[in-house]
Amino acid sequence: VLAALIGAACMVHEPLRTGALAILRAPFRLVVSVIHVGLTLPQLPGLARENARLRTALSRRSLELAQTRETLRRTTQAEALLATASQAPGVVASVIGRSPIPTQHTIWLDRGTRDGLQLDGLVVDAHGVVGRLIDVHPSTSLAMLITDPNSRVAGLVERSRESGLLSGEGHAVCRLSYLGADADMAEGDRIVTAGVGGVFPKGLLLGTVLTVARDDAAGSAEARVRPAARLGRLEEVLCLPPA
Amino acid sequence: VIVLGSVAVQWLLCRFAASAWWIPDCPWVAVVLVVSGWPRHWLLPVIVAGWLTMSWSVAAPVAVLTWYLMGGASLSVSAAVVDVTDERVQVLAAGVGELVWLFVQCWIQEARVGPLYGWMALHIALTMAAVPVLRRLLLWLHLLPDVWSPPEARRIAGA
Repeated sequence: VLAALIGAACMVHEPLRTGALAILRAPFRLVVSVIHVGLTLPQLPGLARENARLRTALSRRSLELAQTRETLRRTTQAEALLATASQAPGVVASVIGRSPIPTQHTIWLDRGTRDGLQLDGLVVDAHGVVGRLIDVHPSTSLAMLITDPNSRVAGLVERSRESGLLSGEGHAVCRLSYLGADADMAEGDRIVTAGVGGVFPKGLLLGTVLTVARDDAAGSAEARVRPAARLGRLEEVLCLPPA
Repeated sequence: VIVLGSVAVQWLLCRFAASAWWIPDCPWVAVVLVVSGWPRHWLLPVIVAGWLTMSWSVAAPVAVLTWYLMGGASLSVSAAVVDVTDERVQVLAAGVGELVWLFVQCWIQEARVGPLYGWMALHIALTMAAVPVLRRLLLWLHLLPDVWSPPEARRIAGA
């Protein structure tokens, strides 16, 4: 009988304890809260000042963090640009303007013939080909982006070595045309310069294939290519002499 | 002043925008407003705007200046027939002018792809929307003639 009673007590002990604690929790919390409020109330004016000071400090830290991030971004960009620059002699130029005519994609650079820039010089950024110089003045120059409808660059599919002509269309995407219908090309393929034409050296990254359209009747294929260079956010570019 | 200011604003906005498609054609809007205000003195603002825009043009720069001259002249002639100080007429003139201008540009550059028409529609809409904004700004700055007050105010002034 004793063993049965002990067993039953053990069985109901845990639920009873849980219930008791749940019931006691409320008044205990109330008492503790009252004590806490009683202790905190005299400190309120100081707390408000402390809060204001901390908020100011937080704002300052947020600003510093944003500045540090911007510095880091610029440093990364400059390092990438320098890595490209170390492989080939060139001039780093800042973009000071962009064509206001939407169908014409050109940028204005702060370097010119005085700095050694030449007509048909190559313009690249850390990510890939930007375009070429079409007008060079003593202290400024005008570069045509590869997205300009007048831009033509001989391109090559890096993986399969299929060649075509990359032309601008006046918006953010280019077109690779003059390919056979059975061209070995797929979404995600990298397009590089073919080195034909005497302006662009071979092997520079132009962009990545977005879509491929094949026309079996005409026996041709076309690809939409997203430029590798960040043409919408150009700040500094590297100008190289023509190949 | 108005045309030079609009060109400066246009260049500034284009410098910091990802694409010029997102920026309304401020010089053209300024030309529409100025020629509407002073129809007889259309040549100087048109030449200034055309020449400054032409300096950027890669393909057929002369076409840019020609377009501005034709657009300005058309607006000046229209002033004898319609009330070009009416805001709705100005918005329409800016939209039609920009539409023709973009089609000419695309034709010159042989750019005829689907996405381009979407961008054109956006650009034209932005240009048309810029007319009332710039108009109110210029009226607030007292840079436009008094006849450009709202119709109600003109009626009161007439009475």
